[in-house]
Amino acid sequence: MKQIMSPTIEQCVSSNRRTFLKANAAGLGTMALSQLLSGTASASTHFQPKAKRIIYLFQSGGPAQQDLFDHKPLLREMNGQDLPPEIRGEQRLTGMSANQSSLPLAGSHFKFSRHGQSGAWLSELLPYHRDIVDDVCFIKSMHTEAINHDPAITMFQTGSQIAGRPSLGAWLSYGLGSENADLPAFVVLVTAGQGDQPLYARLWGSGFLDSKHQGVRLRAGEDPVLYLSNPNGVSASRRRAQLDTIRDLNQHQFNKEFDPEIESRIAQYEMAFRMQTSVPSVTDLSDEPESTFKLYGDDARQPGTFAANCLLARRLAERNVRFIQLYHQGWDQHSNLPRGIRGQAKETDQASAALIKDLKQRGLLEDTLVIWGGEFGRTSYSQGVLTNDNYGRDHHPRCFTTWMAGGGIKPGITYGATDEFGYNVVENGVHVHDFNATILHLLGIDHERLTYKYQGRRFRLTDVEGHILHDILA
Amino acid sequence: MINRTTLSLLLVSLVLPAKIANAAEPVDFNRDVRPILSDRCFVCHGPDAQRVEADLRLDLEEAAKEYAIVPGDPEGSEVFVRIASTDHDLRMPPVDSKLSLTDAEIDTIRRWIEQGANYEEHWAFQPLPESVPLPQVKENTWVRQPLDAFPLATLESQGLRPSPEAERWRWLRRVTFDLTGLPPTPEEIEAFENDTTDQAYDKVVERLLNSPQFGEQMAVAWLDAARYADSYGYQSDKLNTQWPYRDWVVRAFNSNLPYDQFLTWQLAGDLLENPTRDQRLATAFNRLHRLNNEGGAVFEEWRIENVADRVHTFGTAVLGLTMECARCHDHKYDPISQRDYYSLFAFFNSIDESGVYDRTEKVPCPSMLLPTPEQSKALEQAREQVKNAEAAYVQAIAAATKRFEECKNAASSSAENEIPDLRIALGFDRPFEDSIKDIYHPSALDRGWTTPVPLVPVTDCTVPALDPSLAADRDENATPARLALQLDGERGVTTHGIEPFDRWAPFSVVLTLRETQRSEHRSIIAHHTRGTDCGYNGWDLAIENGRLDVRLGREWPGNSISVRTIDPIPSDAWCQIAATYDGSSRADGLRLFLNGQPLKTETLRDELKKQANVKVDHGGEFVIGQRFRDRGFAGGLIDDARVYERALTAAELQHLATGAPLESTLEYYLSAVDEETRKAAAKLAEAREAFVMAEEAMVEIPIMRDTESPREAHILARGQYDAPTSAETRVTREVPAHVGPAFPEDAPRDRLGLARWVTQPDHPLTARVAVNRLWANFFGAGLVGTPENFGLQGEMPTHPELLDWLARDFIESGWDVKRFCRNVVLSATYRQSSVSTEQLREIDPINRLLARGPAYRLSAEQIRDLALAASDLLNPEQSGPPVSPYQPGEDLWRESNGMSPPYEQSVGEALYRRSLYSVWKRTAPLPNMMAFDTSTREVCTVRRDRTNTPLQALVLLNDVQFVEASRQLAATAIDQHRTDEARITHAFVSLTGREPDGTERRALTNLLNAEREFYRNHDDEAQKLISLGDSSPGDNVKPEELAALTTVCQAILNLDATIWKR
Repeated sequence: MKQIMSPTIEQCVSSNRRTFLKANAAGLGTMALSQLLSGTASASTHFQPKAKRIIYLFQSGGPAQQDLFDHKPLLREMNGQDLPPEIRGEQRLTGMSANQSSLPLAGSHFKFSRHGQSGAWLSELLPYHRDIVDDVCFIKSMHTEAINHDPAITMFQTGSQIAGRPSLGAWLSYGLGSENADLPAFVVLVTAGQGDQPLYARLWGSGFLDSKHQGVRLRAGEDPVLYLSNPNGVSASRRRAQLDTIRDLNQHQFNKEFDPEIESRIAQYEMAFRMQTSVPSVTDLSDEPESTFKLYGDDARQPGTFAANCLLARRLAERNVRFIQLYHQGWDQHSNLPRGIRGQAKETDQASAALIKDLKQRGLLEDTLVIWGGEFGRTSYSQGVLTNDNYGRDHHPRCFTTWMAGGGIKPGITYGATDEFGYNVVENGVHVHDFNATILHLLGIDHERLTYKYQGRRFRLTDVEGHILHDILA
Repeated sequence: MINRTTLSLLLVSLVLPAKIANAAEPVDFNRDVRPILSDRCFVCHGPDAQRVEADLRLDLEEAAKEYAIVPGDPEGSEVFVRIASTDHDLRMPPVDSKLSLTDAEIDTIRRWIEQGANYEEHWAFQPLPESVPLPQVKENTWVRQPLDAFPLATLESQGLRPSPEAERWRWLRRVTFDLTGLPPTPEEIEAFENDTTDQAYDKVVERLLNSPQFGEQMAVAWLDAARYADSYGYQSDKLNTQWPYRDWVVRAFNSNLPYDQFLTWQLAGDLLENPTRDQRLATAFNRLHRLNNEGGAVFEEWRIENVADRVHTFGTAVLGLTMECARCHDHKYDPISQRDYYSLFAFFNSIDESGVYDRTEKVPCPSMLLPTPEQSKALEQAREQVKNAEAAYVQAIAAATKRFEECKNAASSSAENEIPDLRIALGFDRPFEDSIKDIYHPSALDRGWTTPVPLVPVTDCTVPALDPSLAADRDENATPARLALQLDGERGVTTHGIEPFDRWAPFSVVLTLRETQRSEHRSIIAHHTRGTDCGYNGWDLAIENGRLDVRLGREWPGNSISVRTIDPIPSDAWCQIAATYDGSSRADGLRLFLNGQPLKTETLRDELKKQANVKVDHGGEFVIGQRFRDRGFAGGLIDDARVYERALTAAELQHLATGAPLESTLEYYLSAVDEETRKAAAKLAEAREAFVMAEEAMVEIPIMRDTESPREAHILARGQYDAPTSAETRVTREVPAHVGPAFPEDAPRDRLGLARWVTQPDHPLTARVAVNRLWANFFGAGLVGTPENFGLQGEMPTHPELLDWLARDFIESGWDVKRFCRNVVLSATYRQSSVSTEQLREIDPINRLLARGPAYRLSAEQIRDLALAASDLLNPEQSGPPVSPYQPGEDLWRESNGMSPPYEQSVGEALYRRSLYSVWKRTAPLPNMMAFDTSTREVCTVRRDRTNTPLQALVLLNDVQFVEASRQLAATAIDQHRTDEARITHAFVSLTGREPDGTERRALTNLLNAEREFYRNHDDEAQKLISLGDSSPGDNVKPEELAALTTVCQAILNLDATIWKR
């Protein structure tokens, strides 16, 4: 066997360049202390970005496109008849409807009409959306592979069905850093008390990126960020005195050890202290005028509602938070869809539209990308027994609708189309990777060049796929 | 990253002015060239045979040198011409790959070709040398352990010197954390300071290696690799029962189980000769992957995921290779083809599993029970009782048989009402109405109400109709028509209050039915089960292609008994079918009858553990025609249905099916008539129930046990479970052809053989990977900076000979882990001071040269355990089910996951267990641990980040865990010491392992005085602060004193001096 040579210092360091860079990046003092709260908006992009930030209104569970956006009169006409086998093709079904003896088509119970100059179709479930159709681009031809919730939502948020990859927000934090010194680059807001399909930390996790890139969840209630408040009996002034002592002693330690990590830690403690003020100033809505609540609806007064979170999203956007991820659960209507979806629409319609209007009137819509959509669509046939006043819909990854608005998106258009059964894409299919590639593009990032080497491979949000949807760019 | 990278590159060039190419310097293929080829070229010109561009492979020397590389002639080598080209169309790598080569890299390739373009085998695939000579060093006196010679030689060759030896207290704190995960106590610190003997260091090491906390500390890294957690992950993320595996890992380290056996037990303990309980338990390693229970999950899809995860974990944890790539295509970088991947996959593919799980109570099979000694004893007693009851039953039969002979001709019965033990009979002869709703209701999804199915007249039926007087749903006032349920597959009827069928009690279900549509899918005729489509437990009767089958069990397939008829029942004809069960827990106790005649059956499964009908949500009633998310009996007609609490005899079933007089057979007499026998049978059922309940109390854990013949394995295109398979795609168990030695000829082709292959003394990877990971335990990073990847894209070792020497020494020592640890912590390399000079920081910021001692932040577990230990709150109890420490906010488990179990915080002592025992919920991990970079344990991880974030400050300042620990430390200090100075010193020593210096003492005293002043004037605030946490602050101390010192202790807890190992 050939002896492996001892490396020289140079070789040793350069052969470990990646680690070296990583360590340096973490040790450069205040400049690159932490993306989480980096105060320096020094990030540059591959090209001129159209959007500076994202508000992603994730509708978890899979909203039924046929009952909201994708008008399919044929389903009403053929209500109760079996889905033609040639339309279904080789499509796999979940174990939930695979055992059904028939697959009866279910027409939507909701009336559709056209709105705005663009003439976009909307169902009666979304009256407030009528005001924003000319600001929005509807993508009717979304599709994905996953048919179960967990892999499907993981795919949307991390570009892979497999756990362990960084989420979209983490990629952005990694790639672009933060523009706010006192708030995280990536904030997560979940509608409280919704139940239904679970959400997991993985969806806003950092995967193999440094954990500082993970989303920070803001919660309704006393402690918007876990561990944010001082313990009972510790006042702000006492905390300051304690922090001063910690700082002095850490500085003293640095003078003995010369480890730059100690300086970094000193800065982290200061940032933590600043967060204790900056976060409550975002979540405290008392400075909002009455007109705000008129716009977003009275729900917005109730912390933790979707409306309140939309309002918070606007406040975070004003403070230049890079990525604001909302989740609203409850769209998984396997049965009793007519009743269930009515409630869902009511909870989300007004505030979603209000957010667009509000951003627009503040001049923020130009450089804020807003996204509305779920992890897959629902079947045009009924899951379970179809009756005159009731039906359910199973998961359907083959086509569904999402919309985007603002930050570089062509307003007032509809992109892609499905067949008259609302079952297959017939025009301009948009895969999750295409969607994510386009999002990165709008932020000024070449999705093929935002990579991170892990386990010897260059990983990307878009794996080895992804085409930018140039047709929907303004 | 764009800006930062540029800046960092700039830094590198500032730091490394000498790195500019030196034409005379020989190019080393492994060190200099392969990383470039692998990283920039192999994607298109590498091992993935299906994706080779231009028919050119650069990973194979011969192929590369056909024309692309001409040794000695760069300008004549296509490779060099193309990478050096300025023409965008010619230049390699192509523009659209977004990859590029630097000028230095191009120059390296040029010089390599010039110097002859030698290829070498990748360093990590070269066999481990039989011996590794120690290098010559000048400063021999510095060397304390043979291993020291390697770093010293490197330093000397660079004109550098090792750092001075660390102060004693530093070494003591370092080694105590590294070997036990805990800080040294003030007493231990003092004892060591006072021990001036030559053996002082050795004695400490022996004490630590022999302490039970050694195993707890060592277990953490392996549990990350083994992706051990206490919940299943995915969607509802329910809790699992894997914790006995965690305890085994602790035991294995404490008993110093040699590493080769450590691996063998985990990979194949079940296949060893007469395996012990621990050897079987260790195989849970292969079952710790996540499991899904999402409604609608396709079982095979998830089963494939499970097997893939076993392969990936084996690859990363044992071989240090990334197998994931090869699941979908040949590996892009390493010589692992897709065929290699699935050949390895075949080893892990043959257990009798469903692929999913349903509920926590239903442990995925194959599994083993882990009784405590008391439970074993109770089970043995219950077994005795069953034996006795069986003997009594046999005796009763003998006696009754005599009686039967005597009065044989005395009586012959002929009426159905002489068939006792009827639980319910249903005629379905009139439309559903309110008066019936206490008996049954028209249903879908198991128990849900729906519109009734149509009733249709029964014609052409030779089976006698149910005696109307027996029908629970009869109409007293009308002459009944003979009608039948016309089932549609979605709807049926759900009865009320029929006790769950379970394995100890006999029962019979008798149905008059007609199958009008034959289906190739298993369709449920009737069932008494619970659970969901991810696993129904209890009893069901189904039909598939006309063949009946019946199942009774807790978990399909491995924990069930089941039989299926050989022949189909008549199609579209009325018949009576009956399913009986005798309470024996054996498959042959399940019988099927057609028109009173027993049907020939084959046994599908024959193993039962615990209760079959254990209570979980969904189901729980006797249902006909449908099941939640399952295929019902579409097109089936059901005339009458009867349930008996006894296994009916053939005579009775014949009577029911044909109307012929009930023949008074001996069997009938014993079962239905003779009171003594019936009493004995009831006693037997009772004894059997007690036996099952004795099992029910036991912990059960999934393990490995192969099916008798290996399940077929195939190459799956794109890794998809439903990829087409054929003889072409079929693979057999084999190890990768180009990695490691050949499969040992005399080894069995199973996981045991695989374990033998991987632990062969000349295996290039196993020992290198193991010592590298162990090394990282002490130095923060391995000698190979990518412990997860020893492949071509991984990093080169900083000290290749040291790695090989350690690996060889490890094997020679009998894979002795404790010995390895001892040698490291007693080495001069480890004993160096970690204080770094400016020069060292510049040339080697992360200590790859080992020119100083290790310094890095303690792990999440160590920080929490340190706080608990220093404050005397720590509860040292070992092993057992996970505990639930403080968690902030509302119930974080359920706040976004209504399907999750709730978080129930532990009470009392259990709050203060070591973090190893804290519950590990994969989708909602403990936030104070995650802030300090623990892994979610969703997949195998062999390296953790060590970040430095503001969230960490918030945790240490505001988490009740740390506030309470600070208060408790303050209380102890006040209790034991009288002066402020002594109290501060006590706290400081407990947390940092050393006494404070003058500056520190002054600063802390000032803080204490200021706090005291504040709390003296704010008594209520003091009271609030010291009341935090579940433990009591005691009432001996003035609140303001305790509050003030609490703040000081917490300040110390937050210092670099506390949370860093230096």
